Amino acid sequence: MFLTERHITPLIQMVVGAQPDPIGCDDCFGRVAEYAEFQLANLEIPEALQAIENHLRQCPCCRDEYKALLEGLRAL
Amino acid sequence: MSDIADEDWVKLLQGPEPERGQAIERLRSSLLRALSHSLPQRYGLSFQAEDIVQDALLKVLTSLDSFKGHSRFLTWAVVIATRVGISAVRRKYTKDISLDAIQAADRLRFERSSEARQAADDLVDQRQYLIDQLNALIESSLSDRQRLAMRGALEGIPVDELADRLSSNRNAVYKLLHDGRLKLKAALERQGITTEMVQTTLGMSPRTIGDFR
Ligand SMILES: [Zn+2]
Repeated sequence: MFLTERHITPLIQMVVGAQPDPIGCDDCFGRVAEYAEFQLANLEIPEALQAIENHLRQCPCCRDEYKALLEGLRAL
Repeated sequence: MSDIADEDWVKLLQGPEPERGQAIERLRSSLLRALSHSLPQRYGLSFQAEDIVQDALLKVLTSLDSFKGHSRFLTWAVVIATRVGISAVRRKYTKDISLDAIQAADRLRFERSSEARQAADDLVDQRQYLIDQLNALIESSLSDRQRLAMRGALEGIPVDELADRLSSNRNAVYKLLHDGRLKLKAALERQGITTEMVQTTLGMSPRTIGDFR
C-alpha cells in the first residue's frame, strides 16, 4: 500500500507542525470544561490550563471535539 | 444557562422522584439544545442530535461521580455529551473507509509521482528529493505500529476510531502517532531539511504549516 500525491501535504503538516505535548487526550478531556469556560468568558488562560491549549493545537481529534463543544455551549 | 444551581444538579439527579425525573428532563433538553447546534454538518455529514441525545444523557448520568465541580455542571455535562455525539458522527463518517487500507500499511511509501506538476525542473527534482528522504526516514525511524497509525491518520481516520481498529485506546494511539511525528521532524532536521525548504518545495504557505488538518 503506497501513499500518493494527495497524502504529501497532510503528512508534511503532521510532521513539521509537531511540538512536544506532555499530556494526552485523557488529561485534555478531564480539564477541557474549565478551559472552555475561560475561553468563553474571554479570560486569560491560566498557566495550569496552557497544556490543554497546547494539546488542542497538536491533536485534531480533541480539537474537532473542542470546536463542537464551544458551539454547543454557546447555544445554552 | 439553567436555574438549577451547580451544587444542586448532582443531588437532584441522584435524589428521589419526582425531582429526579424533572432534573433529568431539564438536563436532556439542555444537552439536546447544545448538540443540535454542534453536531449537524460535522465532517460534512448531516446528523440528527435527537438520534444520540439519549446515549449522551445516559453517559452523563453514569459519570456523575466524576464531576468534581471544577467547572459549571452543564459545561461538564456538555463535554461528555459532545464526545458521545462526535464519536457517533465519526463512526458514521469512517464506516466506509476500508480496514484493509490501513492494515496493509506495513509499508508507508510515497509512489514516485508520474504526474509531475507544472513546475520548473529543479523544483520537481527538489520535490522528488524531499519525498525520497521522507520515505527513507519513515522506513528507518518509525515502528510498524507507528507507520500503521500514521497511515490511518492520513486516510482521515480520527484517532478514536483508529484506536478501536487497532484494539488500543485513544490516548495510546495519540501518543504513538505524536511520537512518530516528533521522530520524523527531528530526523528531517538532522538531514538539514528546514521548514522553509519544505514550504518552498511543496508550495505551502507558512500558515498551513503547523495547523495540521
Ligand atoms: Zn487529543
